[in-house]
Amino acid sequence: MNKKAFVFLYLCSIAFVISIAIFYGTVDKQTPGQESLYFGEKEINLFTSYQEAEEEVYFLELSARLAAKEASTENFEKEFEEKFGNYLLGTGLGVKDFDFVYEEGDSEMKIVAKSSAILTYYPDSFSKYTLTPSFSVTVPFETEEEEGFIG
Amino acid sequence: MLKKGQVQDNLEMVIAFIIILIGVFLLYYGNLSHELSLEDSTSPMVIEKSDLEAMDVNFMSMDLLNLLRLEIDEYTVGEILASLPPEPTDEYYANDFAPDTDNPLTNYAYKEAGSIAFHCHDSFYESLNEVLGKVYGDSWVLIRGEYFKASTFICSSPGATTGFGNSAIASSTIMIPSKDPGLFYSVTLEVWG
Repeated sequence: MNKKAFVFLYLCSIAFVISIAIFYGTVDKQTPGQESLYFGEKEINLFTSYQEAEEEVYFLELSARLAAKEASTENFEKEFEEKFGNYLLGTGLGVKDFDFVYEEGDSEMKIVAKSSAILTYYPDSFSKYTLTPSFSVTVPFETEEEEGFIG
Repeated sequence: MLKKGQVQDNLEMVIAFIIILIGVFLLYYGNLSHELSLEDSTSPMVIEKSDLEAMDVNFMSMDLLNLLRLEIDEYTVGEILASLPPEPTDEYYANDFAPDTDNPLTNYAYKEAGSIAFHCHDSFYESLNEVLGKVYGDSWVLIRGEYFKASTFICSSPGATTGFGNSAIASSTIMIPSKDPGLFYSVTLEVWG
């Protein structure tokens, strides 16, 4: 066979192998949000992160609810923040990471908390999801005057 | 007998053929791995041995969160579970009634949610089943325990065949605070066949 033809055959064969390697090596870069291991993987990872974040916010919300119900009405804000801080022990967050707004209504107290701390979640190795936790809880709140008035 | 040039030609053809074979193998392997990935993706869509939908299984933790936010009387389920002590006291075991404490929520949790050995009361079970029964039928189990320790409060529906040789079809766990600073509880929702 002609030597030039063999060189051409070699080149075609090698180009074939290289093109396959390049195709599979760059599939993930050509896919928006990188390649998925399975169908819907990224979406499920994202929702899993949302759920994880929601669970952490619920932890804070429940801690606040328990603390608010334990705090006395006379010195509510101070006692609430102290007890809320106790519930957060071991979580990596502290009461200093939150700013509270207290809204007193008819026989109830609404506490709105916003955090300066940033929680970070990694649905996969290419994505990052951050959250500044905030929540609000409303608990029964009756001062002694109100209790007397009602009674 | 072949001439030197013919031997060289044959050798080169064999080499080219081997390179093409490698290419075909790579192509086949790449396609196969993608096919297997797609097969994997279909497996979570079908939950064996149950009527559960994949959507419900993948988003169980949202159901669990909504359950914990459910209000029974004036307390949420989360509050009640957080207020039950880590373990039943000796007095509790001996008398099957809860000691009165200073905290009305703890008293409520003792008396209304848990009975002896911290298995839930019928009324508490009915409240939970109103929500969980619609999705998980009669095979759900709610467990509250200390994190990484044995469970201390169990509420289960009669259809949940738990035990040796059987395993939960799906489960979700959430961490909640407890009355003791630094002690966390885990609340797990499981579905059994």
